Amino acid sequence: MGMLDPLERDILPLLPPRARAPVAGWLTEHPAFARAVSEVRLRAGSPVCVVYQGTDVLLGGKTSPDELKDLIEVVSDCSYYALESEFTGGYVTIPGGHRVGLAGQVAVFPDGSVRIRQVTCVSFRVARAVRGAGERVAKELSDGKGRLRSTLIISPPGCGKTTLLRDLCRISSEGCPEAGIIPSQVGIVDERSEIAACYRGIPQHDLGPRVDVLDKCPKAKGMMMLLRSMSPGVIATDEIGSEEDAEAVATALTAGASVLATCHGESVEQVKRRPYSSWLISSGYFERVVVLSRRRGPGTVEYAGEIGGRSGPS
Amino acid sequence: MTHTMVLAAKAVGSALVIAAGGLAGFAAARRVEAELREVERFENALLCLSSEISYALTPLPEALKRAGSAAGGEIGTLLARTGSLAGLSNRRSVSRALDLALAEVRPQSPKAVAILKELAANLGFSGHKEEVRYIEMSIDRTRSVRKELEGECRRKARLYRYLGLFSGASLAIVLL
Repeated sequence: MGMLDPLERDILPLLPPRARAPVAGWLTEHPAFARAVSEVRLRAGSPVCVVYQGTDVLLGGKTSPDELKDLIEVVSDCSYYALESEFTGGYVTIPGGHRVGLAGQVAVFPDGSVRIRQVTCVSFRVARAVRGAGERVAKELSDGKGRLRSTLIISPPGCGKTTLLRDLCRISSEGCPEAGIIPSQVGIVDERSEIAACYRGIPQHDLGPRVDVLDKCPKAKGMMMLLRSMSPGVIATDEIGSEEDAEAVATALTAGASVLATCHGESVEQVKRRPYSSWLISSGYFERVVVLSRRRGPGTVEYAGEIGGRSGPS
Repeated sequence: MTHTMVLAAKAVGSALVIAAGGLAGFAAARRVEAELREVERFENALLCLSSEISYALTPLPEALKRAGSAAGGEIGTLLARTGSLAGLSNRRSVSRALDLALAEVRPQSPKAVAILKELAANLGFSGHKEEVRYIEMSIDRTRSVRKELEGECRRKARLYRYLGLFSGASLAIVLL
Protein backbone atom coordinates (compact mmCIF):
# COMPACT_ATOMS: atom_id res chain seq x y z
CA MET A 1 0.00 0.00 0.00
CA GLY A 2 1.37 3.43 -0.96
CA MET A 3 1.72 6.37 1.37
CA LEU A 4 -1.45 8.39 1.85
CA ASP A 5 -1.57 11.79 0.19
CA PRO A 6 -1.62 14.68 2.71
CA LEU A 7 -5.18 15.50 1.59
CA GLU A 8 -6.43 12.02 2.49
CA ARG A 9 -4.24 11.74 5.60
CA ASP A 10 -4.74 15.15 7.23
CA ILE A 11 -7.73 16.94 5.71
CA LEU A 12 -10.32 14.36 4.67
CA PRO A 13 -10.83 13.01 8.22
CA LEU A 14 -11.61 16.53 9.44
CA LEU A 15 -14.42 17.22 6.98
CA PRO A 16 -18.02 16.89 8.19
CA PRO A 17 -19.32 13.41 7.22
CA ARG A 18 -21.72 14.86 4.61
CA ALA A 19 -18.78 16.54 2.85
CA ARG A 20 -16.22 13.79 3.49
CA ALA A 21 -18.11 11.00 1.71
CA PRO A 22 -18.52 12.76 -1.68
CA VAL A 23 -14.90 14.02 -1.64
CA ALA A 24 -13.60 10.53 -0.79
CA GLY A 25 -15.80 9.09 -3.58
CA TRP A 26 -14.51 11.64 -6.10
CA LEU A 27 -10.88 10.91 -5.12
CA THR A 28 -11.51 7.19 -5.63
CA GLU A 29 -13.07 7.82 -9.02
CA HIS A 30 -10.31 10.23 -10.10
CA PRO A 31 -7.08 8.96 -8.54
CA ALA A 32 -5.04 10.93 -11.08
CA PHE A 33 -6.35 14.21 -9.66
CA ALA A 34 -5.87 13.26 -6.00
CA ARG A 35 -2.35 14.65 -5.82
CA ALA A 36 -3.29 17.73 -7.83
CA VAL A 37 -5.94 18.97 -5.39
CA SER A 38 -4.79 22.30 -4.01
CA GLU A 39 -7.82 23.34 -1.95
CA VAL A 40 -11.02 22.04 -0.43
CA ARG A 41 -13.60 24.74 0.28
CA LEU A 42 -16.68 24.49 2.46
CA ARG A 43 -19.34 27.20 2.39
CA ALA A 44 -22.48 27.33 4.52
CA GLY A 45 -25.43 26.39 2.34
CA SER A 46 -23.29 25.22 -0.59
CA PRO A 47 -21.78 21.93 -1.77
CA VAL A 48 -18.11 21.22 -1.02
CA CYS A 49 -15.77 22.67 -3.66
CA VAL A 50 -12.57 20.82 -4.62
CA VAL A 51 -9.99 22.95 -6.43
CA TYR A 52 -7.45 21.18 -8.64
CA GLN A 53 -5.26 22.05 -11.61
CA GLY A 54 -6.73 25.55 -11.91
CA THR A 55 -10.33 24.31 -12.04
CA ASP A 56 -12.85 23.06 -9.50
CA VAL A 57 -15.70 20.64 -8.95
CA LEU A 58 -18.75 20.93 -6.65
CA LEU A 59 -19.62 17.77 -4.73
CA GLY A 60 -22.34 16.48 -2.39
CA GLY A 61 -25.05 18.20 -0.36
CA LYS A 62 -25.04 21.58 1.33
CA THR A 63 -22.84 22.23 4.35
CA SER A 64 -24.74 23.57 7.36
CA PRO A 65 -23.54 26.44 9.61
CA ASP A 66 -23.50 24.04 12.59
CA GLU A 67 -21.18 21.68 10.72
CA LEU A 68 -18.82 24.62 10.09
CA LYS A 69 -18.99 25.64 13.76
CA ASP A 70 -18.03 22.09 14.84
CA LEU A 71 -15.28 22.05 12.21
CA ILE A 72 -13.78 25.31 13.53
CA GLU A 73 -13.89 23.95 17.06
CA VAL A 74 -12.04 20.82 15.97
CA VAL A 75 -9.39 22.53 13.78
CA SER A 76 -8.65 24.94 16.64
CA ASP A 77 -8.13 21.91 18.92
CA CYS A 78 -11.12 23.20 20.92
CA SER A 79 -8.89 26.16 21.81
CA TYR A 80 -10.02 29.19 19.82
CA TYR A 81 -8.75 31.39 22.67
CA ALA A 82 -5.19 30.10 22.21
CA LEU A 83 -5.26 30.91 18.48
CA GLU A 84 -7.12 34.21 18.57
CA SER A 85 -4.37 36.15 16.77
CA GLU A 86 -4.29 33.53 13.99
CA PHE A 87 -8.07 33.63 13.64
CA THR A 88 -7.90 37.42 13.50
CA GLY A 89 -5.42 37.01 10.64
CA GLY A 90 -7.98 34.80 8.88
CA TYR A 91 -6.31 31.40 9.00
CA VAL A 92 -4.87 28.69 11.24
CA THR A 93 -2.32 26.00 10.51
CA ILE A 94 -3.13 22.36 11.26
CA PRO A 95 -0.81 19.33 11.56
CA GLY A 96 0.75 18.60 8.20
CA GLY A 97 1.25 22.33 7.62
CA HIS A 98 -2.07 22.83 5.84
CA ARG A 99 -3.65 26.25 6.14
CA VAL A 100 -7.28 26.60 7.07
CA GLY A 101 -8.56 29.94 5.79
CA LEU A 102 -11.73 31.48 7.17
CA ALA A 103 -14.30 33.99 5.99
CA GLY A 104 -17.69 35.10 7.23
CA GLN A 105 -19.32 37.89 9.18
CA VAL A 106 -16.70 40.15 10.72
CA ALA A 107 -17.05 42.20 13.89
CA VAL A 108 -14.98 45.39 14.13
CA PHE A 109 -14.16 46.51 17.68
CA PRO A 110 -13.65 50.11 18.86
CA ASP A 111 -9.86 49.58 19.09
CA GLY A 112 -9.82 48.76 15.38
CA SER A 113 -9.30 45.02 15.82
CA VAL A 114 -11.48 42.66 13.83
CA ARG A 115 -12.77 39.20 14.51
CA ILE A 116 -14.71 36.75 12.39
CA ARG A 117 -17.89 36.43 14.43
CA GLN A 118 -19.69 33.91 12.27
CA VAL A 119 -17.56 31.64 10.08
CA THR A 120 -19.43 30.75 6.91
CA CYS A 121 -16.56 29.74 4.59
CA VAL A 122 -13.65 27.44 5.38
CA SER A 123 -10.87 26.70 2.93
CA PHE A 124 -8.31 23.94 3.42
CA ARG A 125 -5.15 24.73 1.45
CA VAL A 126 -3.21 21.50 0.96
CA ALA A 127 0.50 21.84 1.83
CA ARG A 128 2.73 19.61 -0.23
CA ALA A 129 6.49 19.91 0.10
CA VAL A 130 8.15 19.16 -3.23
CA ARG A 131 11.51 17.72 -2.28
CA GLY A 132 13.97 18.43 -5.06
CA ALA A 133 12.11 21.48 -6.43
CA GLY A 134 15.17 23.63 -5.80
CA GLU A 135 17.81 21.24 -7.09
CA ARG A 136 17.34 22.24 -10.74
CA VAL A 137 18.18 25.88 -9.94
CA ALA A 138 20.64 25.41 -7.05
CA LYS A 139 23.67 25.30 -9.35
CA GLU A 140 22.68 28.63 -10.93
CA LEU A 141 22.34 30.17 -7.49
CA SER A 142 25.57 28.80 -5.99
CA ASP A 143 28.33 31.34 -5.27
CA GLY A 144 31.05 28.77 -5.99
CA LYS A 145 32.18 28.88 -2.37
CA GLY A 146 29.53 26.52 -1.05
CA ARG A 147 26.68 28.93 -0.35
CA LEU A 148 23.59 30.10 -2.17
CA ARG A 149 23.76 33.70 -3.39
CA SER A 150 21.13 36.17 -2.23
CA THR A 151 18.16 35.35 -4.44
CA LEU A 152 14.77 36.86 -5.13
CA ILE A 153 12.09 34.43 -6.30
CA ILE A 154 9.42 36.13 -8.39
CA SER A 155 6.09 34.72 -9.56
CA PRO A 156 2.34 35.34 -9.59
CA PRO A 157 0.35 33.58 -6.82
CA GLY A 158 0.08 29.80 -7.04
CA CYS A 159 3.20 29.24 -9.14
CA GLY A 160 5.34 27.65 -6.44
CA LYS A 161 7.41 30.51 -4.95
CA THR A 162 7.09 29.25 -1.39
CA THR A 163 7.64 25.63 -2.44
CA LEU A 164 10.90 26.61 -4.17
CA LEU A 165 11.98 28.79 -1.24
CA ARG A 166 11.28 25.93 1.19
CA ASP A 167 13.38 23.50 -0.85
CA LEU A 168 16.22 26.00 -1.19
CA CYS A 169 16.19 26.27 2.64
CA ARG A 170 16.43 22.47 2.85
CA ILE A 171 19.27 22.43 0.30
CA SER A 172 21.19 25.08 2.30
CA SER A 173 20.57 23.20 5.51
CA GLU A 174 21.49 19.72 4.21
CA GLY A 175 23.99 20.75 1.56
CA CYS A 176 23.89 19.66 -2.07
CA PRO A 177 27.27 18.40 -3.39
CA GLU A 178 25.94 18.25 -6.99
CA ALA A 179 25.34 22.02 -6.90
CA GLY A 180 28.45 22.75 -4.84
CA ILE A 181 26.42 23.81 -1.77
CA ILE A 182 27.82 22.99 1.66
CA PRO A 183 25.53 22.84 4.73
CA SER A 184 24.83 26.22 6.42
CA GLN A 185 22.88 27.43 9.41
CA VAL A 186 19.56 28.64 8.03
CA GLY A 187 17.19 31.09 9.71
CA ILE A 188 13.60 31.34 8.49
CA VAL A 189 11.30 34.23 9.33
CA ASP A 190 7.92 32.68 8.64
CA GLU A 191 5.42 35.49 9.16
CA ARG A 192 2.48 33.57 7.68
CA SER A 193 3.52 30.02 8.70
CA GLU A 194 3.80 29.00 5.06
CA ILE A 195 7.48 28.18 4.60
CA ALA A 196 8.01 25.83 7.54
CA ALA A 197 4.26 25.48 8.23
CA CYS A 198 4.82 25.19 11.96
CA TYR A 199 2.18 23.59 14.16
CA ARG A 200 2.75 24.64 17.77
CA GLY A 201 6.20 25.85 16.76
CA ILE A 202 7.34 22.60 15.12
CA PRO A 203 8.01 22.69 11.34
CA GLN A 204 5.69 20.32 9.51
CA HIS A 205 7.92 20.20 6.43
CA ASP A 206 11.34 18.60 6.08
CA LEU A 207 13.75 21.54 6.15
CA GLY A 208 16.92 19.69 7.06
CA PRO A 209 18.82 19.66 10.33
CA ARG A 210 20.20 23.21 10.48
CA VAL A 211 17.10 25.36 10.41
CA ASP A 212 15.86 27.84 13.03
CA VAL A 213 12.35 29.14 12.51
CA LEU A 214 10.74 32.30 13.86
CA ASP A 215 7.12 31.41 13.33
CA LYS A 216 4.44 34.09 12.87
CA CYS A 217 7.08 36.77 13.39
CA PRO A 218 7.01 40.03 11.40
CA LYS A 219 9.69 39.79 8.70
CA ALA A 220 11.79 42.85 9.49
CA LYS A 221 11.84 42.25 13.25
CA GLY A 222 12.48 38.54 12.73
CA MET A 223 15.47 39.08 10.45
CA MET A 224 17.07 41.38 13.05
CA MET A 225 16.34 38.89 15.83
CA LEU A 226 17.90 36.04 13.86
CA LEU A 227 21.00 38.09 13.04
CA ARG A 228 21.50 38.98 16.69
CA SER A 229 20.75 35.60 18.20
CA MET A 230 21.35 32.76 15.74
CA SER A 231 24.11 33.98 13.34
CA PRO A 232 22.56 32.37 10.26
CA GLY A 233 24.51 31.90 7.05
CA VAL A 234 21.25 32.06 5.10
CA ILE A 235 18.05 33.92 5.99
CA ALA A 236 14.81 33.07 4.20
CA THR A 237 11.56 34.99 4.21
CA ASP A 238 8.40 35.22 2.16
CA GLU A 239 6.70 38.10 0.33
CA ILE A 240 8.95 41.09 0.90
CA GLY A 241 7.59 44.47 -0.15
CA SER A 242 7.58 47.15 2.53
CA GLU A 243 10.27 49.72 3.33
CA GLU A 244 10.93 48.00 6.65
CA ASP A 245 11.40 44.63 4.89
CA ALA A 246 13.81 46.16 2.38
CA GLU A 247 15.90 47.78 5.12
CA ALA A 248 16.02 44.50 7.07
CA VAL A 249 17.15 42.61 3.94
CA ALA A 250 19.88 45.21 3.33
CA THR A 251 21.05 44.94 6.97
CA ALA A 252 21.11 41.13 6.79
CA LEU A 253 23.19 41.23 3.63
CA THR A 254 25.58 43.75 5.15
CA ALA A 255 25.95 41.40 8.13
CA GLY A 256 27.19 38.70 5.76
CA ALA A 257 24.14 36.46 5.50
CA SER A 258 22.63 35.41 2.17
CA VAL A 259 18.96 36.29 1.85
CA LEU A 260 16.44 34.13 0.04
CA ALA A 261 13.14 35.95 -0.44
CA THR A 262 10.03 35.86 -2.56
CA CYS A 263 8.03 38.60 -4.21
CA HIS A 264 4.74 38.71 -6.14
CA GLY A 265 5.16 39.59 -9.81
CA GLU A 266 5.40 38.25 -13.34
CA SER A 267 8.84 39.52 -14.23
CA VAL A 268 11.81 41.43 -12.84
CA GLU A 269 10.63 44.50 -14.76
CA GLN A 270 7.30 44.42 -13.03
CA VAL A 271 8.91 44.01 -9.58
CA LYS A 272 11.30 46.86 -10.38
CA ARG A 273 8.32 49.19 -10.72
CA ARG A 274 7.70 48.87 -6.97
CA PRO A 275 9.73 51.28 -4.84
CA TYR A 276 11.40 49.09 -2.23
CA SER A 277 11.86 45.94 -4.34
CA SER A 278 13.33 48.15 -7.05
CA TRP A 279 15.77 49.67 -4.56
CA LEU A 280 16.93 46.20 -3.43
CA ILE A 281 17.44 45.04 -7.02
CA SER A 282 19.07 48.17 -8.42
CA SER A 283 21.38 48.53 -5.42
CA GLY A 284 22.66 45.03 -6.09
CA TYR A 285 21.50 43.50 -2.83
CA PHE A 286 20.05 40.50 -4.66
CA GLU A 287 22.57 38.81 -6.91
CA ARG A 288 20.29 36.20 -8.47
CA VAL A 289 16.66 35.96 -9.48
CA VAL A 290 14.35 33.05 -10.22
CA VAL A 291 11.15 33.75 -12.18
CA LEU A 292 8.39 31.13 -12.00
CA SER A 293 5.14 30.70 -13.92
CA ARG A 294 2.44 28.06 -14.47
CA ARG A 295 3.18 27.79 -18.20
CA ARG A 296 3.95 24.07 -17.93
CA GLY A 297 2.28 23.60 -14.54
CA PRO A 298 3.08 25.23 -11.19
CA GLY A 299 6.80 25.68 -10.61
CA THR A 300 7.78 26.24 -14.26
CA VAL A 301 11.18 27.95 -14.08
CA GLU A 302 11.14 30.74 -16.65
CA TYR A 303 14.50 32.11 -15.65
CA ALA A 304 17.16 31.44 -13.03
CA GLY A 305 20.35 33.43 -13.00
CA GLU A 306 21.79 36.93 -12.80
CA ILE A 307 19.39 39.81 -12.47
CA GLY A 308 20.54 41.42 -15.70
CA GLY A 309 19.59 38.39 -17.83
CA ARG A 310 16.25 37.45 -19.41
CA SER A 311 13.74 37.81 -16.64
CA GLY A 312 10.23 36.93 -17.68
CA PRO A 313 8.16 34.45 -19.62
CA SER A 314 8.71 34.67 -23.33
CA MET B 1 -30.98 -23.34 78.81
CA THR B 2 -33.47 -22.97 75.98
CA HIS B 3 -34.81 -19.72 77.50
CA THR B 4 -31.24 -18.33 77.81
CA MET B 5 -30.59 -19.27 74.20
CA VAL B 6 -33.80 -17.52 73.06
CA LEU B 7 -32.82 -14.39 74.98
CA ALA B 8 -29.33 -14.47 73.50
CA ALA B 9 -30.74 -14.89 70.01
CA LYS B 10 -33.13 -11.98 70.59
CA ALA B 11 -30.24 -9.82 71.83
CA VAL B 12 -28.09 -10.69 68.83
CA GLY B 13 -31.02 -10.15 66.46
CA SER B 14 -31.82 -6.78 68.04
CA ALA B 15 -28.18 -5.73 67.80
CA LEU B 16 -28.14 -6.75 64.14
CA VAL B 17 -31.35 -4.83 63.37
CA ILE B 18 -30.01 -1.72 65.14
CA ALA B 19 -26.65 -2.09 63.33
CA ALA B 20 -28.42 -2.48 59.98
CA GLY B 21 -30.53 0.61 60.60
CA GLY B 22 -27.46 2.52 61.73
CA LEU B 23 -25.49 1.42 58.66
CA ALA B 24 -28.33 2.45 56.36
CA GLY B 25 -28.39 5.88 58.05
CA PHE B 26 -24.59 6.23 57.81
CA ALA B 27 -24.65 5.19 54.14
CA ALA B 28 -27.29 7.83 53.36
CA ALA B 29 -25.21 10.43 55.21
CA ARG B 30 -22.07 9.35 53.32
CA ARG B 31 -23.88 9.82 50.00
CA VAL B 32 -24.72 13.41 50.90
CA GLU B 33 -21.13 14.04 52.07
CA ALA B 34 -19.69 12.37 48.96
CA GLU B 35 -21.72 14.66 46.72
CA LEU B 36 -20.42 17.65 48.66
CA ARG B 37 -16.81 16.43 48.27
CA GLU B 38 -17.38 15.89 44.55
CA VAL B 39 -18.75 19.43 44.15
CA GLU B 40 -15.74 20.80 46.10
CA ARG B 41 -13.42 18.91 43.73
CA PHE B 42 -15.33 20.25 40.73
CA GLU B 43 -14.95 23.81 42.03
CA ASN B 44 -11.18 23.27 42.40
CA ALA B 45 -11.01 21.79 38.88
CA LEU B 46 -12.81 24.84 37.45
CA LEU B 47 -10.42 27.20 39.25
CA CYS B 48 -7.49 25.22 37.83
CA LEU B 49 -9.06 25.26 34.34
CA SER B 50 -9.53 29.02 34.54
CA SER B 51 -5.86 29.51 35.50
CA GLU B 52 -4.64 27.23 32.69
CA ILE B 53 -6.63 29.26 30.15
CA SER B 54 -5.99 32.74 31.62
CA TYR B 55 -2.29 32.52 32.29
CA ALA B 56 -0.88 29.75 30.11
CA LEU B 57 -3.32 29.68 27.16
CA THR B 58 -3.07 25.89 27.47
CA PRO B 59 -5.05 24.13 24.72
CA LEU B 60 -8.39 23.03 26.15
CA PRO B 61 -7.89 19.22 25.93
CA GLU B 62 -4.62 19.53 27.86
CA ALA B 63 -6.14 22.05 30.31
CA LEU B 64 -9.03 19.66 31.02
CA LYS B 65 -6.60 16.80 31.64
CA ARG B 66 -4.53 18.91 34.05
CA ALA B 67 -7.58 20.26 35.89
CA GLY B 68 -9.00 16.74 36.19
CA SER B 69 -5.76 15.28 37.55
CA ALA B 70 -5.41 18.13 40.05
CA ALA B 71 -8.99 17.75 41.30
CA GLY B 72 -9.09 13.96 41.63
CA GLY B 73 -12.22 11.95 42.40
CA GLU B 74 -14.77 10.82 39.85
CA ILE B 75 -15.40 14.35 38.59
CA GLY B 76 -11.62 14.71 38.04
CA THR B 77 -11.57 11.42 36.11
CA LEU B 78 -14.50 12.66 34.02
CA LEU B 79 -12.74 15.93 33.17
CA ALA B 80 -9.45 14.21 32.34
CA ARG B 81 -11.25 11.66 30.16
CA THR B 82 -13.14 14.44 28.37
CA GLY B 83 -9.80 16.15 27.69
CA SER B 84 -8.27 13.00 26.27
CA LEU B 85 -11.28 12.39 23.98
CA ALA B 86 -11.60 15.98 22.68
CA GLY B 87 -9.58 17.99 20.19
CA LEU B 88 -7.99 17.87 16.80
CA SER B 89 -6.26 14.52 17.23
CA ASN B 90 -9.63 12.89 18.03
CA ARG B 91 -11.60 15.16 15.67
CA ARG B 92 -14.16 15.77 18.41
CA SER B 93 -15.68 18.84 20.09
CA VAL B 94 -15.68 19.17 23.89
CA SER B 95 -19.41 18.56 24.28
CA ARG B 96 -19.23 15.38 22.17
CA ALA B 97 -16.19 14.22 24.15
CA LEU B 98 -18.08 14.86 27.41
CA ASP B 99 -21.03 12.75 26.21
CA LEU B 100 -18.64 9.87 25.49
CA ALA B 101 -16.80 10.32 28.80
CA LEU B 102 -20.12 10.28 30.69
CA ALA B 103 -20.81 6.82 29.27
CA GLU B 104 -17.62 5.65 31.02
CA VAL B 105 -17.59 7.70 34.23
CA ARG B 106 -20.65 8.76 36.19
CA PRO B 107 -19.78 11.13 39.06
CA GLN B 108 -21.89 11.17 42.23
CA SER B 109 -23.01 14.76 41.79
CA PRO B 110 -25.68 15.21 39.11
CA LYS B 111 -25.60 18.94 39.84
CA ALA B 112 -21.88 19.19 39.01
CA VAL B 113 -22.46 17.17 35.83
CA ALA B 114 -25.29 19.51 34.80
CA ILE B 115 -23.03 22.56 35.26
CA LEU B 116 -20.23 20.84 33.35
CA LYS B 117 -22.54 19.95 30.45
CA GLU B 118 -23.70 23.53 30.13
CA LEU B 119 -20.10 24.77 30.30
CA ALA B 120 -18.92 22.25 27.69
CA ALA B 121 -21.53 23.54 25.26
CA ASN B 122 -19.87 26.97 25.45
CA LEU B 123 -16.20 25.98 25.63
CA GLY B 124 -13.80 25.71 22.76
CA PHE B 125 -14.91 28.28 20.23
CA SER B 126 -14.86 31.63 21.95
CA GLY B 127 -12.13 34.14 22.71
CA HIS B 128 -9.93 34.17 25.77
CA LYS B 129 -12.03 36.63 27.83
CA GLU B 130 -15.34 34.97 27.00
CA GLU B 131 -13.95 31.52 27.77
CA VAL B 132 -12.72 32.64 31.21
CA ARG B 133 -16.05 34.40 31.81
CA TYR B 134 -17.97 31.18 31.08
CA ILE B 135 -15.77 29.31 33.53
CA GLU B 136 -16.22 32.00 36.19
CA MET B 137 -19.98 31.79 35.77
CA SER B 138 -19.75 28.03 36.29
CA ILE B 139 -17.56 28.58 39.36
CA ASP B 140 -20.23 30.91 40.80
CA ARG B 141 -22.93 28.34 40.18
CA THR B 142 -20.79 25.57 41.67
CA ARG B 143 -20.16 27.71 44.76
CA SER B 144 -23.83 28.19 45.36
CA VAL B 145 -24.44 24.45 44.85
CA ARG B 146 -21.63 23.75 47.34
CA LYS B 147 -23.11 26.11 49.92
CA GLU B 148 -26.51 24.49 49.48
CA LEU B 149 -24.96 21.05 49.93
CA GLU B 150 -22.98 22.14 52.98
CA GLY B 151 -26.23 23.24 54.67
CA GLU B 152 -27.92 20.06 53.53
CA CYS B 153 -25.01 18.04 54.84
CA ARG B 154 -25.12 19.69 58.24
CA ARG B 155 -28.82 19.01 58.53
CA LYS B 156 -29.30 15.77 56.70
CA ALA B 157 -26.12 13.82 57.44
CA ARG B 158 -26.73 13.97 61.19
CA LEU B 159 -30.44 13.36 60.66
CA TYR B 160 -29.80 10.27 58.51
CA ARG B 161 -27.38 8.82 61.06
CA TYR B 162 -29.78 9.29 64.01
CA LEU B 163 -32.73 8.23 61.92
CA GLY B 164 -30.96 5.02 60.93
CA LEU B 165 -30.02 4.16 64.50
CA PHE B 166 -33.44 5.06 65.94
CA SER B 167 -35.31 3.24 63.21
CA GLY B 168 -33.19 0.16 63.88
CA ALA B 169 -33.83 0.45 67.62
CA SER B 170 -37.58 0.97 67.09
CA LEU B 171 -37.77 -2.03 64.80
CA ALA B 172 -35.83 -4.10 67.33
CA ILE B 173 -38.30 -3.09 70.10
CA VAL B 174 -41.26 -3.98 67.90
CA LEU B 175 -39.71 -7.33 67.03
CA LEU B 176 -38.94 -8.08 70.65
